[in-house]
Formats: sequence, C-alpha cells, structure tokens
Amino acid sequence: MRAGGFLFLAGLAAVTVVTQVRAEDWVDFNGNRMAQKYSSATQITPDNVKNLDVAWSLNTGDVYRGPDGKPANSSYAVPGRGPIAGRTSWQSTPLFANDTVYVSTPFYRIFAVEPDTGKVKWIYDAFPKNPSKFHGKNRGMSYWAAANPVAGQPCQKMVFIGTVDGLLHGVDADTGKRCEGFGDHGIVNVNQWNTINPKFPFELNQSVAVYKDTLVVGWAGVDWTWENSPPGSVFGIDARTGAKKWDFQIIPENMRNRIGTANVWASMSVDEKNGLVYLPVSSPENNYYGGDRLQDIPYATSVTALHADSGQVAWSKQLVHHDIWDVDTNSAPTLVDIQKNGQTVPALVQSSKQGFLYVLNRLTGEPIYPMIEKPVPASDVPGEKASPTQPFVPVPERTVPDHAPGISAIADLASFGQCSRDYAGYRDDGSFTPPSLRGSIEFPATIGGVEWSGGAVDPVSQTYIVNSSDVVQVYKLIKRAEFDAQFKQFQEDRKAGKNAIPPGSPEYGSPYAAHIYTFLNKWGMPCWAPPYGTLSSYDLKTGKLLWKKPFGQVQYWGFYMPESWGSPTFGAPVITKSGLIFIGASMDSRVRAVDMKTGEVLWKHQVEAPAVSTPAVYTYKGRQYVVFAAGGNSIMAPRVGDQLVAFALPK
Amino acid sequence: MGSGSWRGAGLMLLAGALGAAAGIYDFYNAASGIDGTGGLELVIAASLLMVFGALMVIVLGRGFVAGIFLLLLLLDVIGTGTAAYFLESGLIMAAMALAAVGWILHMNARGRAA
Repeated sequence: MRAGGFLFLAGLAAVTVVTQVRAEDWVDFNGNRMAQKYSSATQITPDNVKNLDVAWSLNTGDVYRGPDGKPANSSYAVPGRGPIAGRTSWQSTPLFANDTVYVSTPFYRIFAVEPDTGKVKWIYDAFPKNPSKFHGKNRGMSYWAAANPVAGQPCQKMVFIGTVDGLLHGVDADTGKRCEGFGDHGIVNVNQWNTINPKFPFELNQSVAVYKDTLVVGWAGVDWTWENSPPGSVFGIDARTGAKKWDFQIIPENMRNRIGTANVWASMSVDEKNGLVYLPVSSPENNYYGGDRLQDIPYATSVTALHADSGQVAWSKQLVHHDIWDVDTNSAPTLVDIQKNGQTVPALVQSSKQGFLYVLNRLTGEPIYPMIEKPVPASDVPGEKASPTQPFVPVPERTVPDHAPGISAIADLASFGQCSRDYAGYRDDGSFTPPSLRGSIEFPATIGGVEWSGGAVDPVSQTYIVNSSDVVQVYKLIKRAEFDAQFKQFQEDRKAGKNAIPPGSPEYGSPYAAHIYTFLNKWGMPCWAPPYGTLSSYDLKTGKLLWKKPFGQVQYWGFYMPESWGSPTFGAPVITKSGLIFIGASMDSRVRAVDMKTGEVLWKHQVEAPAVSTPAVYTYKGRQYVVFAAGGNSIMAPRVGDQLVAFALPK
Repeated sequence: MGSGSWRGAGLMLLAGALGAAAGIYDFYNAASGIDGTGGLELVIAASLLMVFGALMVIVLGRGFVAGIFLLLLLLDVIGTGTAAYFLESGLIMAAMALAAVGWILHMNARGRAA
C-alpha cells in the first residue's frame, strides 16, 4: 500500500513536471507572462549568427491577397471563407509549449507543428459557420496548463483562440479536439456580455492573458464609426469551465450608454507572484473629438493593474488626458525588476504610440522616472476642450523626436512644392496639437511611435530594446452635415462603379466626423524627412539611451530605399541571453539579427511577407530555433503571406 | 559589321535576355522579396526592349537609326542597372554590367571601323 502510494505520487509528480510551463518555453504572445520577450538560449551567438539558415518552412494557406487592381479596403469573398474586408493581417506570435509549436492564423485556425521539422501534427478550425463579419486578422493565441493535472484526463493543457464574432474556443493542446467542459462544448460566447450599444460583436483577435486558472479577456471593435459603441470591458473567466469570474468596466457608469470603447484590444502582462494583471487601455470614442465626453474617464488611455483573482483595480495611471488623438495604450507593459539606488524595484515599462516610455513601479503605479505635466496647445474646434496639460517623460528619452521632422526635400521637389504648400495650410503646434477643421499635423500619430507588440527586456542587464516608427499624419475634423453630404456622394459614386474614396470616418452620433491620413505627396512619397523607423536600446538602471539606429528599409514598387532611412515597424524584437536581438517588423519583408551591444545588423534573411508579428525563440532536442510568422498586414506594404519559418544553425 | 561589333551587340542581346529571365524568375519567386512588384515589371520590360534594341543594331549595322538605337540602349543599360540596384537584384545588376561591356565593345569596334 505504502509503495503503491509512493509510486502514484511519483507518477503524479512526473506528470506535473512534464506539463508545467518550462523556462525554455515560449508560452505567451510576449514570450512569457511578464511580456519580457526574452530567451535564456545561448546556442546562437553574435559570432555564429551569420550561419543561421532555414530549418523548416510551412505555408498555412490562410492568406487572402485581394483581387488584383481592387482597393484593399473593399469587401470580397474568400472561397470557402466568406466575405473579407481587405487583405489578411497576421500578427500572431508562435508559441512553443508542450514540445509543440502552436500558431493561430487570420482564418482562425490553430496549427500544431513539430518543433524540429515543421510537420503539422493537427489543425483546429475555429472559423464560425455563419460569421457576421470576417476581417482575416489575428493577433495570437494562448496556452494554459493545469498546475496539478489529472493523469488520463483530456484538456489538462489547453490552447485558446478567439474569433471576430466573440467566440473563445478552448482546445486540448495534445489532440486539437475541443474541450467539452469549457463553455458550451468548448466555446465561450464572450459576446453574451456585450449588452450596451452592441453595434458590433466583441472581436477576439488577440491572445487572452493567463493567470493561474483565470483567463483575462479583452476585446477589439470597430473604431471611428460610432460614438456610442460598446463601452470598454474586460472579463476574468475560468480556464477550465469558461465560467465568468468577474468583469471590469472601464467607462464611468453615467457615460456608458453614450460613449464607447476605451477597451483593451492588445495583449496583457501578468505578475504571477503579486497576482496582478496589467491592462493597456485604449482611448474612447469619438477618437478625435471629445466635446461629448468632457467628463473625465480616468481609466481611458491608461495602464491599469487589476487583482487577477477579483478584477478589482490595484492602481491605474492615465498616460494621456482627454485623449483626442487615438493614441491607445496599445501593448502589454513589460515587467522587470530593476536595480536603482541600491534597491531592487519591481517595475514595468509601458511603451506608447506617443513615443514615451513610462517606467512605473508595478505594485503602486508610481513613476520611477518622473512624469511631468506640461502645458499643451488648446483646441480651436467649437465644443472641444483639450486638456491644458499632458504628462511628458524626459527620461528615458522619447523614441521619436519631440517635433515633427522637417519637410523632405526630395518629396517636395518631386511634387513641385506640394508638401510645403500642404504643410502651410495645416496647424502644427508640436506634440498634442489638437485635431482641427483645417487639419493638424500629428507626430507621432495613431500609427505610432511604438505599436502593439511593445518592447523587449533583458532582465539580467536590465536593457530595454524597442522599435519605433516616425510617421506624420494629418487629423482633420469635418462638420456632421458636410461629412454626410460628402459620404452620400461617395456612396452614389461607388454605386455607379466609380473608384470613389470615402471622405473619412463617420463617428456617427458626434457633431464631427474625422479624416485621418498620412502626410504624403501625390506620388505617395512621405512629405517628411527620414528616418521612418528606428531601433533603440535603453539602460533601465539609469534611463539612459545606449544607442538608436534607423532600422529596416522602406520598399516601394519593389525598390529598396537607403538603410539610413529606416522603415516604419510593426512587431516587436526579442532578446536572447547570448546578446542578440531578433526582429522582423520592417516593411521590406526581411528578418534580422542585431547585436544588442552595438545595434549592428549581423544577419538578415528574406521572408515571404513583412513579419509584423513577434518572433519566438525555443530550444528543442538541444537545437535553438527562431521562428517567424511572415504574414504582413497591408498597413505598411501590400505584400501579405502565410509563411511560418524557423531558423537554426546548421547541424 | 565587324566581328567586334557583332560581339558587342550580341553581348547586349544576351544580357537583355538574362536580365529578363532573372526578372521573370524573381517575379514568380515568393522568396525574392520583389515578386509581383511594379519595379520588377519595369525591369523585365526594359530588358526585353534591350533584346529588341540589340537585334535592331545587329540588323541595321551602321547609320543614323542604328545610332539612335545605341543611344537608347545606353539609357536602357543605365536605367535598368539603377533599377536593379534599388531592387537589390544581384543577377540583374550583373546582366546590366554585361550589357555595358557589350555596349563599350560595340562602340570600340564601330570607332575602329570608321
């Protein structure tokens, strides 16, 4: 009896060891739950990375390139998949856990792949039977493993994928079969909690956060269309059963019926030790005119910490007051302990579209490096009242310049002075210039700065690496009656088969619609001077910028522009212990390895589309792999793809 | 037409054909990074025009019209070579270097014959 009991316990322990998350795994959209994007792997080094080559490559087939010659924002049918708006957008970080590479696709499928060969083990298809809509967009999936698994029982390890119509699927990580005990036969309808102004279903494009046995679920939606869309909310649900444990409402109760979003559409990070989950909260509707929401919305455009067990707020820090620039907090903050003044400080680094890096105490929300309220320009739009001050962060140095770069001489010359003429007609009073009726220069604008993947940290040296875009946009408000007339004309032109362009975004229910566009000349050339994107390294112990370099190459009509110009980027870097940075992100469809000490590119390789997702690093059977999902997003470049490609040193 | 002149024009014809072939390969190769791009379409068209131009030079031999074709071929070599540089296509750049050698050979032979 005693021996039998011992064997049972030993077996249980063995199972536990096998199923729990291991240090070398890549279990999260952001590498680990703390969003560090860091691997302790050391096989690939700055010395040997030049030998890196394709270990395996897989095409999922889940791509839609759009019919030739048609605009990418129109609705067309994908055979067997229904209508899709534009091209596919693949922003999913591959996961490595349970000795398997998992990746979710823009067609809501999960591929489980052998880590050393790329051979498909199984495919799970979550595509809805009758989708109310279909974007062809995916921002990742999640992995969960029971802390005390029951031997012989299914679903002790699960993977989760969401769909555009609010369904969260729970799937056995071993077999690819739906977990019957999760929600209704393996599906939780998150959209059942979409009860206020449900103008659209909750879109579950992104990964859910995992804290012990709780899944923390945010949602994406349709921006720029209705002022009174669904108000922002986040749900805590049981990872085994799908039962709702708590919800967190972001908009104050007296505003929820008339002001929408301020939702959490990006990934989140988790401090398991302290039981906290960190939410990057976006801006509310109308994204560009706040005259109908002059009352403070404290959690909007904030980083907010919740107690993951209860959904109660631990602290919240608003990063932009009365946001009328659509600068959503857009990435999971990176959690790291930093050494400062002889003390270990539990910190987080929140990157942002506005280019500030907010370094906060992650237990209290207090700034470790000061946030200073500075006066900013007033609005000249009737009904609007812009915040008189905004928080600025002098240290660490902003990832973008404080003012918009000057006019590009080449673009100006090529357009016979169009750039200068257009600029003269716009309002440009520097950072936080409010949108205006004549058009305001915004830099950085809603496109960033730093986009939804955030940065990476080496927790040993406490070095933070982040890529950032330098893009100038114009924000122009249009009076309701004027916009409605223009929109009617647009619809009539479209009906008549003309190649009509919509006059802007309607923001129904608001006195103003908005027209947001990038500052280009008639040939499509950027009107501002390069660089267009950079990669930077910061010492978090001092806040000092270690290096900053143009990163990637702009590609237009296939022509590569000079490296000194850099490229706008989407998708984060990852760091390995050996001192390497791996990153795709640029619009030239190349993936690169960069020396963490110097910022020098040591290796690059062509892939089939811009790798706008964050890569994953893992070690399997003694061999280190770096795997990229190269799918593009058609924001930076029209090229999209379906390639999952792993690199390793030759055997 | 002297043999040096034949060699020069022939080299341009070959270079144009090689440039077009490399361009077509890259156009349909998803790993080239320039597949399906307008820039590559331009280069393929310019390479095919080079083949045509070189053929015309061979057929016409000497004279004003052949001279015009030679000038156009020079512009083609420079333009396509520059485009290949910005497309970062080593093969097409090599083909255009070959075409440049052909053009120089042809002009040398033409000069000697005069």
